Amino acid sequence: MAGHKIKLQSNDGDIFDVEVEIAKLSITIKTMLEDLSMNEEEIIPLPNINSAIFKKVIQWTTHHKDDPPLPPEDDENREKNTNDISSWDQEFLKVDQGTLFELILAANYLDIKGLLDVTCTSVANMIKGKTSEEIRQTFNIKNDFTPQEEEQIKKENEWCENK
Amino acid sequence: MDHMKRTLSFNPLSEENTKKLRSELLNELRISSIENLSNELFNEIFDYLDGIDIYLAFSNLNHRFQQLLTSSSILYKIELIHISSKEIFMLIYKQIKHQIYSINFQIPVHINQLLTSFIIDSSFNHLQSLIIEDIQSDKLISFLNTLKSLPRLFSLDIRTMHVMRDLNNIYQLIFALPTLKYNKLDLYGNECSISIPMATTGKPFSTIEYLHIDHYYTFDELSALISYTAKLRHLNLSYINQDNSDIETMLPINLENLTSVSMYTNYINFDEFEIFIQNIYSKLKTLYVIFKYQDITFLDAYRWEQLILRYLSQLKKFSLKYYENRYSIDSGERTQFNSSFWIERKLIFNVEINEYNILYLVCPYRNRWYEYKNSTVDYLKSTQLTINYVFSGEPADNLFKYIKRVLNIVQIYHLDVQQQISIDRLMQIIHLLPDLITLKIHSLTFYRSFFNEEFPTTYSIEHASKIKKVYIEKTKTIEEIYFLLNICPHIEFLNVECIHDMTIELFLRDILNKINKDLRLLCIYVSKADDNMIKRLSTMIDNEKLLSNYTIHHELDNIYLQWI
Repeated sequence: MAGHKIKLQSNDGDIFDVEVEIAKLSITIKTMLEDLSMNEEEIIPLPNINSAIFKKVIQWTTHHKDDPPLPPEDDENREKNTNDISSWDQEFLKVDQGTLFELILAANYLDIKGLLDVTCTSVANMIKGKTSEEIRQTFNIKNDFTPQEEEQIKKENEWCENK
Repeated sequence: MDHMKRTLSFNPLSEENTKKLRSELLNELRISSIENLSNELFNEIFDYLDGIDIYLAFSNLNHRFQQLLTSSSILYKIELIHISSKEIFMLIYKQIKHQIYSINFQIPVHINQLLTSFIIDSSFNHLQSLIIEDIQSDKLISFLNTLKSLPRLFSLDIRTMHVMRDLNNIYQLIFALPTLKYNKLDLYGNECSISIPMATTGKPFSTIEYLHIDHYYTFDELSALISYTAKLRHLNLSYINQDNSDIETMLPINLENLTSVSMYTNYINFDEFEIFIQNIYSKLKTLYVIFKYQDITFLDAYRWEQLILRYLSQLKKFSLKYYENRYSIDSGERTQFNSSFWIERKLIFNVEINEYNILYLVCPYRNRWYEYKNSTVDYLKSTQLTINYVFSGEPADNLFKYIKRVLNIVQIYHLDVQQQISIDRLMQIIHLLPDLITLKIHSLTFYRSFFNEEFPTTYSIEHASKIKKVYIEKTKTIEEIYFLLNICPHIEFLNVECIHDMTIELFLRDILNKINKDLRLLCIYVSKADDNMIKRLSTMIDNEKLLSNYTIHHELDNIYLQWI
């Protein structure tokens, strides 16, 4: 049976009807509903998220609504591991880099820890084991050093040229 | 902004145009580069990466990343697990030492050599955690001396195969570390000894709150050690101690903050364990104990009840594991871990059979696969037998002996077979278990290791007919499911995985054409279950009149189909 719904508005004006239980996976929205006594009829604006990204966020939270709660941060021996991405999440994260970075920003703004973890893990996997030149190509990073600065850096970092 | 000006010079904007314009403007502001992420978000990403990888990846890219690498908000976790990572570390550590959060020195990096060329001092002012492997005794002493200057060292984990005989200096240096909260010392062999005196008032106490002793100790030595840790909250004793001779002379210690004890030991009996608990009298909230082969009275539920009521009145979390090998003496009594004392605390008794031993567990009840939605839990009938080794392709006399032994101690209602099992071995096991309500198996094989005319026995058929709920984790052919439906004619809940080379529609249709009159709930695991799949299945069921009065939905990749 479908639960109660609330209206959430993206920054480009689209309004989404989302089940309260799913919306509350976002601590930011949960706080708005509970602490700020916003009622379920009001439209809650989300000024930092566009509709395309918000659709993806709803897709993720709907799929993960029954996940067990994450262990507390200070849990003993909790090692962060880049292999911890489920097959569904891997498929979900087959997106262009811009979308991936916007999902990170959205997860951070909405305070959805699971989504932030999985998107950061995905970027970490893109970084792992790469040289700086490979990183420059992967993320299309422009070099803004002056020729003098570059020369100086080259001298200082001769050690890693052969690594 | 040009396109905005152009738009404004034309007709007044319709609502649709406003929206379109706003979208275009927002698209321009979209984050399209990794460079736009804040330092805080980079910290989240870097949490998954080794510090040396980060430094190599982001050095010399541009000003933004040069600034990021040396920003105080970025902390590095260094893992020296390869020779090459050690070499790079030696070249870069001076630049990032203020930002190093943790260092893990592992084999094959030769820590003894490394420590001669690199000095840890107070400039590592964010270093909170150190893991050190394979260090020699003399090097460890000098290394511990250098750690005193670290202002934020909270965690120290030392593991070495090198023989350490005298632990006095080592522990005294560890206890003197000014900010340490967690310490683990993991040593090999029985040669070590500790002869430090009991701490006296006036002497400075250690700041340690979590002490993990993973080396040989006597109980007198343990008393002396923990007398220095007045702030101790967690004590973990994980070394199999073979010397309990001094437990009766162990001096009582009152540790006000001690709330958690984990203990793994053998050659200790219940009387001695009781003395230990009395001696560390405290406000324990958590007690996890593992005993091996010593004293069957560890399965005496009433005795545990008395110990807990008398000395551990604040206990909230408890688990007992008792390993028994095949030579144990049979007490001839059934265990009483299903009395009201245990049920009120939702602690239940379970059993596991391994290749060489039986493990009895008393542990908190956890939801099981067969509990669907609001089904009530019958704690009196919750004991589960897990078989971790089915003696596949070999005689299973020991397995059957183990099962008979278990049945002398407790009634079994739930069976969980963790390996692939042949149908004849499964029926042999069911033959021995008359009270089964649920059956979970990893996977089935139709290979028969013996040909017995009596297979399956009348008893096995009778016992299987009482089973109400069945879960098979991996299925290769539909015949496996037909077999289970056939031997368990009164099954009410079937939990299966969709066969890989079948569509979900075909798979479901095949099952629904074979169901018995009692089956009411079907759970099918299928990769990438979604709402569209549910709609398709619902249409198929309706069109083909496979069921009436049913509900269907998915939870993650599990499809639940229930009918009246």
